Amino acid sequence: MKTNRDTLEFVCLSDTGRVRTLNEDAVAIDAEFGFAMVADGVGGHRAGDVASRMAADIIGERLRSKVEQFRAGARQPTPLQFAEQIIGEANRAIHHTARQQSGCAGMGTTLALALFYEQQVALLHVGDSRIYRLRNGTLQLLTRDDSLLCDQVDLGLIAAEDAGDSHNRHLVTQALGVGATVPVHLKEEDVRSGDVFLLCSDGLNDLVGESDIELIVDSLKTNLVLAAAHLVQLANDNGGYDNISVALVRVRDTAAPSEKKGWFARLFGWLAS
Amino acid sequence: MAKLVLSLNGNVLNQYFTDKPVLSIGRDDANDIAVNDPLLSREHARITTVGEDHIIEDLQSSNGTLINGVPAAKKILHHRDVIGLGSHTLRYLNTRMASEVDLERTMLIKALPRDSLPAEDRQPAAMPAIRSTRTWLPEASIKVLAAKTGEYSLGVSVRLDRVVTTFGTPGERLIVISHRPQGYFLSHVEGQHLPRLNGKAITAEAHPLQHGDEIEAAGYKLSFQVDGHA
Repeated sequence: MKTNRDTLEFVCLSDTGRVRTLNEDAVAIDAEFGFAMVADGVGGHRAGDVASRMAADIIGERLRSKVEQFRAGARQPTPLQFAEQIIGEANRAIHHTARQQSGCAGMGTTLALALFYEQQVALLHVGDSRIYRLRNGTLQLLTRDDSLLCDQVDLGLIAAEDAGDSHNRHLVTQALGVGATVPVHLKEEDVRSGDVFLLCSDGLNDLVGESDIELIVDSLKTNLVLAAAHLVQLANDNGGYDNISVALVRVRDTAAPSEKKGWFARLFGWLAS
Repeated sequence: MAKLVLSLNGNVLNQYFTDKPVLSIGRDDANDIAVNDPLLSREHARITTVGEDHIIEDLQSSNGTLINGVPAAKKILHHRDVIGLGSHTLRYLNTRMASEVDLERTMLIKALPRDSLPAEDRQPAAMPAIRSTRTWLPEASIKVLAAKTGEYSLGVSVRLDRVVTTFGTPGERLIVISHRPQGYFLSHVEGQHLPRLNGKAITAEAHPLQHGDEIEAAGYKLSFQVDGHA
C-alpha cells in the first residue's frame, strides 16, 4: 500500500508580518502521519502564542499515536472522530491553563486541521482559520469562518462585496480554550491526484484576494516552497498587518510515473487524449 | 461607540451616539435622530450596530440617502463619512477606526443568532480581502525573442499585470516573474537548469529585473521591457 509520504507533499511557512512584533500563529505539518494545521492565537495578555503553540503540540502528538493505531487496523474511531476528540482534549488543556496561570487568562486559538488518510481528508476547524482546495485550477473555500463578519454577510446585514470595508475582521465567534467545550466544524472530502490543499490564518486571506491566492497556488504548485513564500510575500507587500501562516499539501499525480515521461510518451498521451 | 453630528448649512444642530443596536432617522419625532426637514421621509433611514461596524440603510425613502454625495441603499460607515439627509448632513466620527486599517488584535465575540444562518454544507460566501491601496510601479511586459516549445511563440508580448506570471511547462521546467510594489523579480520554479539572466545562471533566490534584461529559461529567450522605455 502506498503511504502518505509517497503521494503527499507538505510545506508550511509562518511569518510575523510587517506590523506585529510577535508571531502568535502556530503552524505544523507531518508528512509521515499525513496532517497539516494552522492555529492563530486570540486575546489574553500576549498569551495568544501560548494557546496556539499548545494546540499545535497537543494535537500533533495525539494525532500521531491515533494515526498509528488506525494504520495498524483499528477501524474505530474513524480519523474524523478521533481528530474531533483530540481537538476537544486540546481545548480542555488550553482552557485549564488559561484559568490556572496568570497572564494566560482569556487566551484562545483558532484551528484549521487537515488529516489525510487513504483517499480521503478529514477537515476540522474552529474560528476564522481557513482551508481551501485547488482542483483543476479553481480555488474553493471549504470552511465557513466562525466570525462576526461571516455571520453579517450570511444574515444579509452587509453584502459580501462590501465585507472588505468591515471593521469586524478581527472578531471571531469561536476559539479553542475559551470554554469548557468547543463546537468543531467537521467535513470529509475525497482526495484526487493534482489537488492542492491550503490552510491559512486570516493574515493571508484578509490581505490577499482569492483570485491572487488561486493564481499563485496554481502557477507554483510544482514548487510548494516557492508558492508558500509567494503567498506570504504578497500578504506582506499588501500591508502585512497580521501574522501570516500557510500550510500547503499537494497530492502528487499518481497516474504519472515518478520518472519523467519521454517525448514519445508525451506525444502518445497527447494523441490518445 | 461612534458619534454622529447633525448640521444644517454648516451649523451644528445636535449630536448623537451609536449607543443602541439600531438608531432610527427620519422626520417623525419618534425617531432617535428626528430631523425636521421636509425632504426627509417620516422613517427615512437607520443605523445598525454589529460588532464594530455601523451600517446605514436607507428605508426606501422618497428622496434617498447620500453617503459622501453618492446615493446608497446600505453601507458600512467609515470615519468622517458624511450622510446627506435632505438639506441636513450627519457626519459620522469614529476615532477608534480612524487608522486606515484596524490593527486590533483578534478578539472573541458572541456570535449572531444562528437560527437563521445557513446550514454547514452550504458553500461559504466569498469575501474580499481588505481593500489594498497598493501603488504599482510602471507596468512591464515580456517579449519572446525565441521559443522552442510552449505556450508563447516568437514575437509575442506578454503583459506582466498579474502578481505572478510563469513561463515554461509545469512539472518539467518553469520560471516565474513576480510583480511586487518595488518592481519585478525572476525566480526559478523547477527544472534541472537554472535560468540565465543576461548570459549568467542565477541562484535560487529571486532576482530583480531591469529594463532590457534577457532571460534564457524553460526553452525561451525573453526580453524584459518596462513601459515607457523606447
